[in-house]
Order: sequence, then C-alpha cells, then structure tokens
Amino acid sequence: MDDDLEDELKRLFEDERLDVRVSPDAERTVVAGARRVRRRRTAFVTAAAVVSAGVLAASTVFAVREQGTAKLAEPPTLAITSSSTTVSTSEQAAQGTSVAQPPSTETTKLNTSTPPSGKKETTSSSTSPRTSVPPTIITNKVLGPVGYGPFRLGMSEAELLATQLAEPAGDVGGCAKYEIKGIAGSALYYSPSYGLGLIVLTSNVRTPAGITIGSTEDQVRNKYPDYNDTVVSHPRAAVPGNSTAVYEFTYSADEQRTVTGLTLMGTQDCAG
Amino acid sequence: MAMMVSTHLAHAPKAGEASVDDFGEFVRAALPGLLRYGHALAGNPHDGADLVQSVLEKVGSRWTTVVRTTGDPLAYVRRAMANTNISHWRRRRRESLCADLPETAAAPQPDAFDNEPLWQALRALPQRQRAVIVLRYYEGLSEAEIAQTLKVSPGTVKSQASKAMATLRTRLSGTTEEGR
Repeated sequence: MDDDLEDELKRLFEDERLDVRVSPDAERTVVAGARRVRRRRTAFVTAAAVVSAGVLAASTVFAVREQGTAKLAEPPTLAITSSSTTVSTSEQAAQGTSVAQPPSTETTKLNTSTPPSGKKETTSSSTSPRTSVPPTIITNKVLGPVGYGPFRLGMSEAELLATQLAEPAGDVGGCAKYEIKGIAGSALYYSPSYGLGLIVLTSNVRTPAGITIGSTEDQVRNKYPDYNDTVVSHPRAAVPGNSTAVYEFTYSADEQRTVTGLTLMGTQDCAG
Repeated sequence: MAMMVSTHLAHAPKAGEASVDDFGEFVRAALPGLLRYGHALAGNPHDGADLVQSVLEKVGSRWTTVVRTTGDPLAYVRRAMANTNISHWRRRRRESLCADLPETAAAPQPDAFDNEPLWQALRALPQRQRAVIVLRYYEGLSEAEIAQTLKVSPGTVKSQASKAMATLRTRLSGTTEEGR
C-alpha cells in the first residue's frame, strides 16, 4: 500500500506534463530583475553612508562585498579596483566579515572616510582577526510596533550590521538571515528589496499588549480583536500603531496552544 | 551544466568580471528544471514560475556571494524555492517566465494535470506537507536532508510526511470509490 503510493508519487513527478515551456525572454527577464534588486540595495548603501560614521563603517564593507557580488548593475561609486590584495578582502566580506578600516588598496573615497571606531565585530571563521564583543542582552523585550530593541522594520543591511548585535545565519530565499546575539531562537530576515522585513523571537519577548511566550491563544484573541487564524501560513493580527506591519503567532502543537513564537512582519518577500 | 558553471566560478578568483555572464548562463541552463520543480512545489505552472523568478532575482543580486558560500548554487536555489514557497512568499503577478500561459490571472488556466486524482490530492495538501512530499519523492532527499532544508526537526518531517501520506491515501481511495 505504502509502496504503491510512493511509486505513484515518483511516477507523477517524472511525468512530462510537469514540464513548463520556457519563454524566450526568461533569461533576460531574470538577469534584469536581479540587477534591479541589486541596484535597490546599492541605493540603500549609499543612503546609509550619509547617515553617520558608525553606519558608514558597515556600509563600506557592504560595498566591498557587493563589488564581489557580480557586476549585475553599473559599478557602484564605491567600486574597488580588483587586485590580488583586494581579492582576499572581498572573500572575507563575502562571509559577512566587517573590518572597519579598509585596506590601503581601496579607492580614495573609502580611505578618506575611515571611521573613528576601531575594529568591528568579525564573524568570519577564516583568517581575519576576531574581536569579541560581549553579547548584549536586549533588556527591553517589547516587540513592536516598529521593531525590537535597536532593530527597526525596513532598516538597511548596513544599519542592521551597525547594531553589532546581528549574527549572520545564512541566506533564505534570497534574503539574508541574522540571529540576534544572545537571544537563542531569534531571527531577522533582511530582504534586498524591502530592508529588514521580519523579526522573529521565541524568547525574551512580549508585545506592548503583554502577549508573551506561553500566553494562550484565547489571551491573544482578547488582546487583538482582529486576530485572524484563517491565513495559510500563521495566525496573525494587526499591529496597533503600525498599519504596515502584522504580528504572526506560532503555537505549541499540544492542546493548550500556547504561544511559542512571535513575529513582527513588515513589508517583505523573504522565506520564513 | 549548472554544476560546471559553479565549478568554473569557484576557480575564478576575479569572479566579479565573469559573473554577469555566468549568472545568465546559470539561469539559461537551470531554468527548465527549476520551472518544472516550481510547478511541482507550487501546484501550478504560473505560481511555480513566479516562485522561480522571485528566488532567482534575489539570488542573482548576490550571485558571487551565493556561489562562494554555498558551492552548489543550483541546490541552494532549489532549497530556497522550497522554503520560500512554504511560508512568507507573497504571490505577486509579474512578467511570466513560461511561454504558453496567458498573462491574465482572471481565468485560471486549467493545469495539464487537472484530471489526475493524485495531483489534485497533492495540491490540496497544506504547503508544508506538500513540500515534504516533493522534497522526498521529487528531489529524493532523505528525512534528515529534508529536516535540514526546511529547518525543522526530523520528527516534524516524519509526522508531516505520514500525515500527508495518510491524507493522500484517503483522498485517493475516496476518488476511486466514487469513480466506480
């Protein structure tokens, strides 16, 4: 019985009717789309660079990383000449390493903007020096209406890195995932198109209305009258004071259905 | 083909120079397989194409990083698709990557599989369960690999898979009885 169904599934997935004819323009459409996404991100970086020296430290590193990330768009203004010494830099950067002082081979623009702070937190597992920043527990546990601790929905990746509290945790669906240092089970999803789009907490969190890990679904319902549990992904509720965000709730699988996770979701297109 | 692309890139230190072409080349080589896979994951060719496009655009915008850090961009893209399809992916109509489907979403295009009871039963599964089935029987991944891909525990994979199989079995036997 089992085997029959398994065989049928395998047969189904081999069926040629699953084939989709590729449009002649498809490749160009995708490459152009990738360029558009990248350009939007470059704009974020440039804007962030103006904000403050602290942010600049992160954004220049980001620009280094982007230089290595394909010339899908016109070269950014912070473009770095390719040479044997910069290759290793961009490799480190590609792994999320931030080194505040750009190597001397960078363009003059980078050199003149040497940030005042020393070395930033490094996250590379490779040869770069590792400066340990003690994990900071975010004591204000409130999630919403616009963010959590120093994290704000929509913030750029440079701003996110400048908090020094975000630990790279891989890529998901084209978005960069970070964990908040010192908070296990936390996740930040950064979308190249929309900035920080999701803040996920499974501990050290409460909403302004007092919903926290362990609250029951009935309590959630009481606090959030527009609570909607018919959505496909997760039950959700509007965020009072922020019309562009929603809360998503995850619950324990048992009958108690207590809250196990709270997500603040802004405009985004990331995977969960 | 796609593997050749990634191997080639891994050996090209100045990947910045070559990456535009290589991403395009990767897309060209990988698209037929990815669109097919997207069809299976999303349950219809149009949403499947949207899924492929949305993941590829983001991956392409960070192409060299993805190639360097993952080593196997094709596997990475497929996994990103599985994850993206499950939870937070917002359906957005866009230029279509498939040649023979109408642009308008007004009248849903009948799927070539619409009369296939197993396909219908599969489409009716919750996203997460369908993903587990697709990863298991389309991708041929083990339970442990599926758990890693979807970032859930092996126990969750096991329970989702058995729920899905039970539902499929029930729906199929129902159809067979009705059909007779």
